[in-house]
Amino acid sequence: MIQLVWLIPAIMFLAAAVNGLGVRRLGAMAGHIAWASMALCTLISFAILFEVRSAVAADPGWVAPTIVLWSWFDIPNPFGSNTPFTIDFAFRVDQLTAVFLCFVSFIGTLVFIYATGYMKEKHGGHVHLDPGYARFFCYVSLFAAMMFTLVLGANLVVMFIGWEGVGLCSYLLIGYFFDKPFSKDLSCADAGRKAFVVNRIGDAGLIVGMGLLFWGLGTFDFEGINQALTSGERADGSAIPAGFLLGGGLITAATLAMFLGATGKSAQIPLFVWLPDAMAGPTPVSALIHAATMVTAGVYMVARLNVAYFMAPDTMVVIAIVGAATAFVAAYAGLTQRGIKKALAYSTVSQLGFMFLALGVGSMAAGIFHVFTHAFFKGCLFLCAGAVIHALHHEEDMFKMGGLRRKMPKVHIAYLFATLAIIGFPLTSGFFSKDEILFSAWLAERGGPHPAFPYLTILAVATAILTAFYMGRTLFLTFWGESRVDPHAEEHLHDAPSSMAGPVLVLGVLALVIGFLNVPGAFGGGAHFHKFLAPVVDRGAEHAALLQNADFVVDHAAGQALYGPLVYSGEDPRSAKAYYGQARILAAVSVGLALLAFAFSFVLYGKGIAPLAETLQRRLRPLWEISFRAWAWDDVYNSLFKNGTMRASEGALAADRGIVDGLVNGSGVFCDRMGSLLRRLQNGQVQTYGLVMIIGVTIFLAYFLVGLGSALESDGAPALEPPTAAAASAMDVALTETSGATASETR
Amino acid sequence: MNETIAAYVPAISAYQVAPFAILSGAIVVLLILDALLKPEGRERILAGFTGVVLVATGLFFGFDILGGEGVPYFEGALKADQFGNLGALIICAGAFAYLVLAPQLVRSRRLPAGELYALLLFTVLGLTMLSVANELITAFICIEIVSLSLYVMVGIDRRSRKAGEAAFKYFILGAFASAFLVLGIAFTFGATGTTQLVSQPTPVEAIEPGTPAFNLGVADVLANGERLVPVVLAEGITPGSAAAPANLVMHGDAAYLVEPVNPLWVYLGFALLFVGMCFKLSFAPFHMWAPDVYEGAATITTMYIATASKVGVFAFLVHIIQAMSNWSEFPLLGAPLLGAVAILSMVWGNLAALVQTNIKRLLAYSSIAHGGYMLVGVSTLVTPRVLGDVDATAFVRDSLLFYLFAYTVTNVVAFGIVAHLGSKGEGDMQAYRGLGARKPLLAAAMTVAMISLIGLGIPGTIGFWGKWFIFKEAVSSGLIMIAVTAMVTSGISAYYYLRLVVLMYMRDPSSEAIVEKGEVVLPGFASRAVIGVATACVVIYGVFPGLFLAIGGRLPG
Repeated sequence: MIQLVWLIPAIMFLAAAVNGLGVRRLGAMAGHIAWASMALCTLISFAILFEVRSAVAADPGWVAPTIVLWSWFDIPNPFGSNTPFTIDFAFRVDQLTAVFLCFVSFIGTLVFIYATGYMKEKHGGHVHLDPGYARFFCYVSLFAAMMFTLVLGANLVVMFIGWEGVGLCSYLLIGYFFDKPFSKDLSCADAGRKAFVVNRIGDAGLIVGMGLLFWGLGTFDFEGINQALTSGERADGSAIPAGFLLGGGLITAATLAMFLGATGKSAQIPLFVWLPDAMAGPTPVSALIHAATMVTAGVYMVARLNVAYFMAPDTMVVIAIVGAATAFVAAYAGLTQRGIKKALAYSTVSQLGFMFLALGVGSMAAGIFHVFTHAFFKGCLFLCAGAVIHALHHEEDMFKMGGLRRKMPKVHIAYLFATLAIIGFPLTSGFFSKDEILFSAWLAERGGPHPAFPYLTILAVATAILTAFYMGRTLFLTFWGESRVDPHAEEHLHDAPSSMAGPVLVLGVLALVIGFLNVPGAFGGGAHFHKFLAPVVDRGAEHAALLQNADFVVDHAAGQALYGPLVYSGEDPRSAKAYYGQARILAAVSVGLALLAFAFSFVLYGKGIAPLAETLQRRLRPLWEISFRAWAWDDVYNSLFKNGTMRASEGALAADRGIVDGLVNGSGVFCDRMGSLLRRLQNGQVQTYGLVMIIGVTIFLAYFLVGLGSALESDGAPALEPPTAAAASAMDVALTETSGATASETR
Repeated sequence: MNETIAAYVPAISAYQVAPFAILSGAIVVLLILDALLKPEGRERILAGFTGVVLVATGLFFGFDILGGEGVPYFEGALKADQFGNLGALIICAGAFAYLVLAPQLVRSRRLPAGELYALLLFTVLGLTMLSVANELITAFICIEIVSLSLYVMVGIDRRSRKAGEAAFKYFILGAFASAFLVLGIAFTFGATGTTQLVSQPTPVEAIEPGTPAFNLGVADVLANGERLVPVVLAEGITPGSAAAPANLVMHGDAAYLVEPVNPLWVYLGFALLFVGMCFKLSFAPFHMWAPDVYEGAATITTMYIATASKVGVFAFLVHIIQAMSNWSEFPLLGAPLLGAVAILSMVWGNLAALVQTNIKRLLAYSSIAHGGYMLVGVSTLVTPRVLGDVDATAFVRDSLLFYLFAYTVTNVVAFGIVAHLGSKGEGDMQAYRGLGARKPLLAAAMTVAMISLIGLGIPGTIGFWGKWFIFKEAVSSGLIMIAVTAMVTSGISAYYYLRLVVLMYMRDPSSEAIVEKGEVVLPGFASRAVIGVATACVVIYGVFPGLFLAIGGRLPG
């Protein structure tokens, strides 16, 4: 089955093509094609996952096979190295990829089914499909194909195709309602553009990083990169530049540049500003692309290149700090949002920050596990939000909701489950994944040589508390208390249809229980998820440990890959077990504080909006403003970059119109005039044509005569001299009986 | 002595001349069949017969049966190498496309089918032999066979005054050009003492030690910088005797004087030869006939003149240039002339095309411009980097071959569509208004062809790679000025090619008259197949240029 893995993206490309070509004719069929294709992909993905599992079980040293579809480039190396510049269009399925395939396709299927219900409206018994119904399913199918390509790619270039492909689909889907306004100064099309432009900045970094890696290591292939970095030699046996050794400047620059790409795609500081506006897209898109899958591509990329990142400890510190800071900043912004999707969007940014914190402190598997659980609970939250918005005819303001749990009990239950998961209620999925991250950060801090580290766990715990508060707030504002719904809309209020409620409930239940896949050692579990991924994502940790201290052993059983600080400090690397006690205390403290915050949100919003909430808002006006306007990040960017750029653009436009257009049009006019002149020569008269030919011949002949003459003058080349006198006299002797013809020939 | 002579007689395999024999025989058979068969169904039988002959001939070249090693044979008259073989294959393919598109023309204009097909086979005979020719007189005869046949093919529609005028102009100017060609051959012979380009290898046992090879070709003479002048010895003079000149050599009983070649005669010979070729290939400033003839001839005949007929002549031009490039003096004055003609053709062709309103004239100027691009490749052949470097030479020749192929298939699409459109407007571009809505598939194919003709700028078509390979070699050989001109003129060309696309997709047919002008004769199945296959080639080779390997070519670079 692994050899047939290309079927997965191929099926989705096909689905996208069918929907795209039949965009005007398919009708409701489009949705069925999309979700059925996705379901088929899910089956294949799970088959592959089990195949990988059994292969690993049979042989712990199993090497993931590379499936070369075709050789894409095979040209001499542009950098002059001996290794040829070969790029295969190749896929590789290892543990990490198999996990991504499964959850992307599974959640994708649920979201597609949900979307078949979401993308139509009922009016007086008639069902109206959204006008762009097939277009929507074309885009999302294409997105799925690209996402699969991203995680399947065996080298950076194929991954980059997927990376850009999902970016394109994201742009198309954010701007799906391109003719509608989104907020007071953005239309949906603008929001799409914003996402696109911001992501370009990040992608520029990614390209620079790719180029640097290739220049230094001579390959784009992930396995080749790992080999080169761990062995210190390129495939052709030459040594890699010193800057690519542990802690070197070049590897740090390359990984930092690629991390810039990740901050764009995964919405981290400084490039997170596009994600809240990405909510302009239809809600299933927000759930699938802007919560569960695409935005985690940055996390995937870092985990995929974990060996390279571990070689650059400074980059890791940056990642950890950026992750923790983003988590806190976004969670704080989430406290006061009015729009339910906006609040969830900031929550997503915040959770992504958690994932990067995990990566930055070296616990790649913890980051991926949080990607995994987050996909379920955040996907569920968005789908619930979508169901509410759908039922309320596109009302997103939570202050105009309330009491919906009576009208929409199924959606409420799912939302409640997912909320419990995201705030880390004990034994839910979020509890396990968030706890692992906190523990990793805590461990990093213990050995932390870096002055920033001690604050990271504090930030992370604070974020967890904020998360509990704002998630409780969304839950209570939307589903609890008294109804603040517009009475006119309330008449039509109904629970979600089964096509929507089904996926929502499935995700909600899974969000509760899926954490048991990876119960860490501190709570008596086996950390199966982590151990499954470890051969892929902990390679960097092991290698870095090896370089620093040969005795160091990564303790997978503990559910933690001990990173950096312990390793780099050269401190005695003990087993993580020694820290189990601390881990338990940490979990108890963070969960306890979070539950307190959750309870506080109930006090404020559980029975309608309590007067205390308004008092607090008035008293803490400045703090409230900072939160509501999301730290004025957009305004800062606008005044720093956008306005300046716009003014510069206007200047450039004026210059362009005046000077460049003048030149361009002028050259066009010039060409046109010349053409007309030439046309006048083409007068249909054979005599004229003959004359031109004669002129041409004359010029040719004159050219050679003059050319030869000047050559004679300049150097008197012997070859150009006529036969010498000596030769001529010799000829007279020899040619006493030559015929006339021969004689003339000799001259 | 007799044994020595026997050793000279080259062993010719019958296969090596078979395609030409088949073609000659087929022409005779075709004309007899034409006279014997009853009118009903005659045209079909003749077309079928011609098709079979073309396929059979093409197979000889496609399977390289003539021997692609580039060794002259047939008394040095022919020399089949990979370039000539594939050129001949492209010619056969072009002729086949003509044949498939022809019946519609034959029926609508009531043309004599037998004569037309016989003329077509004549041109194929001339062109294929020309592309493997190694001897100037042979080449001249081939060119004349082709030219005379083409004159008649242009004017075969006696009811059309335009066609008659076109044929007449073509004939007059063509005869004019042939005169230069003959003069050029004469000068070359005078300068080098031979009309063979490359010598046929002499069996080793036939050479007496210490004597120069007897049958030298132009390439060898120029490489040595010496030619042999046959003389008759006076009584008592023997080589080595005191009275004998130092440059006297004997070959058997024959006596020769070894003399340095005179550069002036070589250059004059080359200049006049080149003029003749320039005319046939419609390089500026010898291109003036092309727009008038292209417009006057039936569209598919224009296609044939623009593609297949040029491939043969171009292949021979490459043979000549390669022979000349053995001469150390040639890059000094010859190479700049090639570059100048290339630049003039690109500039003139593209600028004049800007103001055309008739699609056939537009394509005529386009073909002049494309001739210029091909000459860029030829100029690259005589740059210091490429000269003497076997690999680099092979690359440039491959890139030229790819370009010829690209240009031919693209024009089959373009002219194939023009042939079915605006039969009343005779190529008026207004007939293409709103074609995208009326005939989406035809318009799409035309768009592909136009993009391929633009070449640079929009990847994904065969034309892109054609130009890419040529320009790449030119730039790495230091022909910066020429390459820049080529790219700038390519940019200019986008204007007039895309104008057609704009007409097809962004303009509505504004009046009834235009609708009538733009009446589409829906192509028959066979025509559609030809246009479809050619379009597919344009796109598929555009995406996977490596497939060129599949037809026996090599990929440059």
